[in-house]
Amino acid sequence: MDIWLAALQTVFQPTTLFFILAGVMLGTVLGAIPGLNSTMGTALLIPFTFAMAPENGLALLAAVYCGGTFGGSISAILFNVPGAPEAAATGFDGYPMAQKGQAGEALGYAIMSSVIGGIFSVLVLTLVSPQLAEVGLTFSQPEYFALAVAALTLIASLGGAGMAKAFIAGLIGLLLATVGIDEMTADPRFTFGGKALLGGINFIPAIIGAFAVGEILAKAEEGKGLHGEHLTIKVSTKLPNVRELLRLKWTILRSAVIGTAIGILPGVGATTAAFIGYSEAVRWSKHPEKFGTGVPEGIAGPETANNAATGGAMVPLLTLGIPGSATTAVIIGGFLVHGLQPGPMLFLNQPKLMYTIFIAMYVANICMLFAGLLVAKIFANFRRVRYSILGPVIFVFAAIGSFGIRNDMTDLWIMFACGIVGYFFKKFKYPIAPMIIGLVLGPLTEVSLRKGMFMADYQLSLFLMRPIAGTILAVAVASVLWNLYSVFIKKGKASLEEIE
Amino acid sequence: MLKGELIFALLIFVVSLFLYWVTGSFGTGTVLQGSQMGPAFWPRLLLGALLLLSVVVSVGTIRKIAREKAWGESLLTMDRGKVRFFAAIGLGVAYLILLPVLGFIAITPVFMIAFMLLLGEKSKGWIIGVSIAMTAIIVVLFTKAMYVPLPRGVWLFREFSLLFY
Repeated sequence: MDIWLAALQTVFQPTTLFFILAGVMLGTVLGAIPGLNSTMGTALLIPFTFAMAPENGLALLAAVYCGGTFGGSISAILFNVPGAPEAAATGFDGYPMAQKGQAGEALGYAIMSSVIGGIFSVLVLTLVSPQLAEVGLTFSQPEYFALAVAALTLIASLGGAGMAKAFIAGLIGLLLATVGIDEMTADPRFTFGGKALLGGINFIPAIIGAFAVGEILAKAEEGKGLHGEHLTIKVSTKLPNVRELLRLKWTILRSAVIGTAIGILPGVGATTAAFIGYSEAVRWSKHPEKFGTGVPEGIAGPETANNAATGGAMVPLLTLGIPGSATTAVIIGGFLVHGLQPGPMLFLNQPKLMYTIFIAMYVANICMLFAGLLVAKIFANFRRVRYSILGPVIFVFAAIGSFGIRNDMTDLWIMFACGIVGYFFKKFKYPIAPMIIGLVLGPLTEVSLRKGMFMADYQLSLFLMRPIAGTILAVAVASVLWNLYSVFIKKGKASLEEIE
Repeated sequence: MLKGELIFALLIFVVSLFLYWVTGSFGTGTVLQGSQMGPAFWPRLLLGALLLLSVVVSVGTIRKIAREKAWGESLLTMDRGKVRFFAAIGLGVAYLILLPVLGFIAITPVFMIAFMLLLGEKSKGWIIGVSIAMTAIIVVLFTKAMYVPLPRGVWLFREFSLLFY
């Protein structure tokens, strides 16, 4: 209880509250602008959090994450252009509703279900995390190896089409993580005789490059939407009343549970949650034929689920140090710049910081109510942002942010190189998230495997026979096999293109 | 597009093969014995998987090209988009090379203006206003609030930077 009070005190300091509110606003704006998202936003912000107290910095990042996940729905509803992939499903019914002249109502439903989904998931986070962290303390190398493998295989197998490409992306991330001095034997690897890469590839510049610079290069080539167009829609957001909300209670509850559960799975996040939330809303509805024409259930389903995934994704991050989504992988950077390693030990050593993050996320979700109303208003009456102005500004921020981590020009070149890789990934439809998760989890995966095998005297059976590690690995392998099976069998023909 | 995709997959294959060769020099003097997992073990495992998967993707792409009879598509059409893309890369490289030489405050507004013009921005007010304002904001934010020593450049440029930070 004392811990809760101490954490409450921290969160309700004016500076922390300010950072949370600013974070939610910023996240919502970033989410609403197509081409920007909360992953890129958190990546660009990490260098700034360096200068803040850890609890402020992490509260800010968590708030951006919450706001960003909701923000995409604003542009999805108003313009049918989802600001972020997790909002794509919200547009299915949100945009038709807006076209019927009910844009305000649609936004209201989106805001309310986001807030409820978000708060529900933080509740689960608060209840589950301390227990899970205790279990996590008993984990040894094989368990961590199994968890890391599970995170990587899940993101690859559930990441939509193109499983082989997703695995390639993940493997490239893991490979990038091996650059530098080998942790176990101190041998230099892939440094090509130079000093620049001895310290390894810092993953913050890599993330900033892959997400921000890659996007800028792609936009430069595309040329579309660089100038913006005049889009003025008069919208006044109308929040649903209690009766309207009660009508949606089962949809919201179902999606909240689905979203949180999917968020907790390592590696899969809000986008998957939103699509499953939508399809379950359709499946359980008495009038499935009305979906797509602009029904509130079609907004509440995905929008509750994607925001519920934010709290869920924080569970494995805070308790085990395994990111539950691309953005939480980036948030690990927020811990690392303060010399903190997220995981069960952090729960033991810095419980106040953990509870501060919990409370900050509650507050962030409540702030979303106001941020949502405000940003929706501004956004609806505002000219579309011109990328020809925004792109160069983001580039400079990305460059200086990368430089600021270690004051090293090498990091800038790493950022730029990863930007070019990110561009080609985007162009040839390789997902970027597995690469980032691979880069983040690389050291853990390798070291836990090699140390674990050393402990087991290099007998694979001893390594695999540990109950928790064995179970997790079996589930991970089964999920890949299941996906291969459904690609090969369900679709009737074996075709390489589909797994590729 | 499909041919580009194929080349990208083949590139991953070739680079993986090269890096696999590089791992041969890892930890030649290590204390770990043959069957124990030395520094080359993990990278080789990853590279092996990459080699395999890049073949899977390549074969899949070749079949797609054959089916869609896309062998004839030209590989690189230098349309305006491509020109903009390569110019953006050139600008980025130039910025990174010149940053430690000319210093942040001297090169950044020039870079931003050039980049905005490249992306087709027409409004002179926006171009000049945003470039100068953003440079000023970043200088204040990073040097005064966050104590990040931004690159100052050399010689006269260093003197110029020192006027501000």
